[in-house]
Amino acid sequence: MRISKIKLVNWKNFLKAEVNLQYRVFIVGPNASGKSNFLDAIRFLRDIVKQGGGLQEAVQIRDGISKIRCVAARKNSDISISIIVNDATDTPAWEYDLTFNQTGGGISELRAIVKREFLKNLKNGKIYIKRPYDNKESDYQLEFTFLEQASINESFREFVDFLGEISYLHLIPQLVRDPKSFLKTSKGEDYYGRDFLERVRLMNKKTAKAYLTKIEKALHIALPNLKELIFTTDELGVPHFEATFSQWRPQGVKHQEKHFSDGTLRLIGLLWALQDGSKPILLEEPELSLHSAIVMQLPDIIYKLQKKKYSKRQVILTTHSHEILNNKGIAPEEVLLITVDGKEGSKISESIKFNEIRTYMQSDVPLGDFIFSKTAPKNAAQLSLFD
Amino acid sequence: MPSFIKTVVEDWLQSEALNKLIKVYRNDLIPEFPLGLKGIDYIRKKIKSFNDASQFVPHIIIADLDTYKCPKQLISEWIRFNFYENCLFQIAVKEVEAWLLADTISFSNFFGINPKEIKNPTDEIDDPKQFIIKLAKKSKRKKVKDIIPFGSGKQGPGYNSILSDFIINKWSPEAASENNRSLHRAIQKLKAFCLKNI
Repeated sequence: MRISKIKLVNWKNFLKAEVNLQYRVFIVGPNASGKSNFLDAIRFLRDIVKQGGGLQEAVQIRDGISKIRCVAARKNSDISISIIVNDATDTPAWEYDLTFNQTGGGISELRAIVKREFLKNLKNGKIYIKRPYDNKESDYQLEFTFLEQASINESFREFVDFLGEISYLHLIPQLVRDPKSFLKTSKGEDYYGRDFLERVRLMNKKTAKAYLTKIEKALHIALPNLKELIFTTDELGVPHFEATFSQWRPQGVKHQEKHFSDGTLRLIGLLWALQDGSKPILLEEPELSLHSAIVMQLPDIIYKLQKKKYSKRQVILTTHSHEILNNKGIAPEEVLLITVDGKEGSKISESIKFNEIRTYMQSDVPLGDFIFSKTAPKNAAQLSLFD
Repeated sequence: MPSFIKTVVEDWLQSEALNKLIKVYRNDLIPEFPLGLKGIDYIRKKIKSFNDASQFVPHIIIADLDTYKCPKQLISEWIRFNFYENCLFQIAVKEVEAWLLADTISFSNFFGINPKEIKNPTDEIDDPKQFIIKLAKKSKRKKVKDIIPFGSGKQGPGYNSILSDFIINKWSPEAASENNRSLHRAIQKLKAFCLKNI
């Protein structure tokens, strides 16, 4: 299953955005243009349906409606996210639209309220949710989406589960190394810090072993002196990765994740996350800390690992990497380009919409070169001149 | 003692093909991570520098014929110097993909197509890349389908990894060289490539 289309209104940097999403999506754009915020719209839907989630929670962890709403928004201040989800055979199956705003202020507490909620099964045309109803719902009822209510969502559980199983990877090596970080991240759960190891520990032993074997094979190529990678728990029950590196001592030298390099940790996290799950995965700049020779191969690695037994997994990533985009197997339809327009927020469009790109593709100008020139700050060369 | 060698290529596929040739015919050489990977113009501009550097590390350079009519024309336009002994320059007619196709039996097995679909000699196929994409469209094998470009891309997302898999596991340069003169020549030159002690 994949999200094949997304439409945003007043969402963070985007006054309006509407794009198609393929099985592989590369989101590119200048710094602070809204790449992560675009991903965040998808995470927002997931936060609504996840356990202990819900609309209020999803709004609260983003510091309220005023931090979600696009600063360029004017008369219409409603925020809206709409998506179309295709099923495993890639036919459009679900259409969902959520429009919300806030009530309260002054002495009453600010609460998010649903302005419109709509869910339709596109295969049989059945409409499951259509709010607001004719008979007026109370403000309290409007504080909840139907998606998050287990008693209502039984008949469209497939769609709810799809959203709930979307995963997000932003592995921060410093957090993995810090033994206390588990406490800090357990609420956010999104940051693959220490809880990354916890997730590995909780997994079915056989599956985990199969994933590890694949990762080990890849690591052998990336780090030729790595002999073995295993997953253990120490005497206190704390989970650890342990790698054996060969050197002049015949038994090699053992290191735990605390002593892994940033690159090693990120590569392990990336390879793990790509294998774990079958619903869309959102990646933040997977190229970080990795050698260019590995970065060049990332699109191929992703393509390989996104193929699952019965379907293909959607991978949506943000990147600044020239090397990734110069991979010839990437089609311009897969690249979403964000441009910043001072007054009206950011614009996002499929890179194929730029007329010149077809000519460039014809004459073998690498896609990355084109994107790079589109997204680089015009006066980047002057960065070194300031004083 | 095997010696390290620098390879200069246009793209990944050339690199895989060249590494395979080296593995089969010259196990005394160990190729390092390739230079180039930026298309043909880069090689044309820098070929003299690579030749100069071969005084210190041996180099093997490979390029497609591209739009040139024949290797002689390419050489006369590019090369205005003498190659050092430790520099081997090899041209693939017309693209390295033609070398892969030339192993007709393995290739048609891999794609699950009739060997007669592949024109021989493969040197004469006009655009081998497009030819392979066409074969992938004809093939019923699911695993080669990702060679076909998606949207307005020029090659599919699996183009490199699928053909690299073919090169590493199935391709026999020996069999291919019988159907492709430029590969035959390349192998002869590679076998005879005698490193001068540096």
